[in-house]
Amino acid sequence: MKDMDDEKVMLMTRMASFEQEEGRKALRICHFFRSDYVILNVVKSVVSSTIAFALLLGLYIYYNIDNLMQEVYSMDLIKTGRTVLTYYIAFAGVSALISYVVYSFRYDRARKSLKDYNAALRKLDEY
Amino acid sequence: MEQLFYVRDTIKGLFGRFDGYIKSVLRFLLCLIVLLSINGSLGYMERLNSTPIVLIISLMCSFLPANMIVFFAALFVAAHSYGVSLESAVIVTALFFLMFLLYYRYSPKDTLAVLLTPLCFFFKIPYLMPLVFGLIGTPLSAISVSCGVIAYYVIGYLSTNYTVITGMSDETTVMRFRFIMDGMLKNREMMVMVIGFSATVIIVNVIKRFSFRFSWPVAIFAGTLTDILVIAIAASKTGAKISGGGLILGSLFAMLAAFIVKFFIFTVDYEKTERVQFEDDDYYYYVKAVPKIKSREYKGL
Repeated sequence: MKDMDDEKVMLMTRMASFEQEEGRKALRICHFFRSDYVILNVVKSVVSSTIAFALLLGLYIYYNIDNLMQEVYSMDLIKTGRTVLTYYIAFAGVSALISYVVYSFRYDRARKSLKDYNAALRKLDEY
Repeated sequence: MEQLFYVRDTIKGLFGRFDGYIKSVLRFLLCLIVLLSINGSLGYMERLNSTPIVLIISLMCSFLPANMIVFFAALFVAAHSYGVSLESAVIVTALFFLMFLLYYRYSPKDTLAVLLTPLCFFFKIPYLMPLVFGLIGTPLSAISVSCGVIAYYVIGYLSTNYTVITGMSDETTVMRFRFIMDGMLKNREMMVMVIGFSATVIIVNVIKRFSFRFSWPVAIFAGTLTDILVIAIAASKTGAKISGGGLILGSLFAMLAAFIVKFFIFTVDYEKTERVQFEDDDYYYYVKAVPKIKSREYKGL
């Protein structure tokens, strides 16, 4: 029976520690293609921002309900609808852009940590 | 200095050994303090003011995920605001839901930032939060800290305007709704704090990431300066009432406290003992990896 190699144990310990915490998340992220991961999260953000926008619009309408009830007959509904749509697109657009930047960064970071992990695996293979 | 290292390493050793238990106890205490503070400031829903309920929820939170404390805290505030009026409950719930959407999408791990920011306001040390979370968080921690600031001002608004809101029973629902919305959202002091704290978190975090030797102390100094300047400028532009002396003294105290927090807490929290299992062709390994102890005197527990 051969003796334990200290360096090998240290390397395996670090790798196992990585697998327990950060690695699990990184593996989950890198399970996707970059574009799929980013688009999925952008879509999630657009859904969230749509709900948030609907909620804000509801609060705004209730806040101004008296004025809106008086003006509703004289209001150009198409123009109002277009304005609301413009605000929504701007709101969801900003949210999508932020998500794109944040989740692209998270994917790249996960990819890099997995690359380091794979390098450690190759090193382990040499023992 | 050696004494300080000794104290720090003893704490670190304790954390390493009793990591699971200490976390549960801390979670229990945090939940208890948060819920008691909410009950103390609001307390308009009689049934929630009972100590057994608070204790049971705190005990539950000691083994549930940390975000459950945020959930229960939000539930308590919403329930107490229902005790004020239906309109305030609707507004508070909508506001918390909006914050939840933002927080959960971008920084769901920053539970402490959301909970500790209002607590620090209660304990009169609010300027500490952006510095600390700039150091340990990400730029997106600005969202969590801002959610905490908004939660604090919402609680403060309800607590100071309880008599006025309940006295508006003759007014229409819409009038009461409008009054509460105006009071909560057109709060200039809150806006100034959100802007100042967000800027500070981002500046501290960006500088801390640089690889030069004293990036952490420089980040704390720059953060303190940003905090004072941004809040002072924003307050003068918007006319928000923020005490200049309080801002400067509070920020300087926060700077000092940030250095102490960095020295004591970060190493304890982030260099914890790891237990890992793996195997190769010859052995099964059950390894306990303990972070290196820096001071000479400490020899373990």
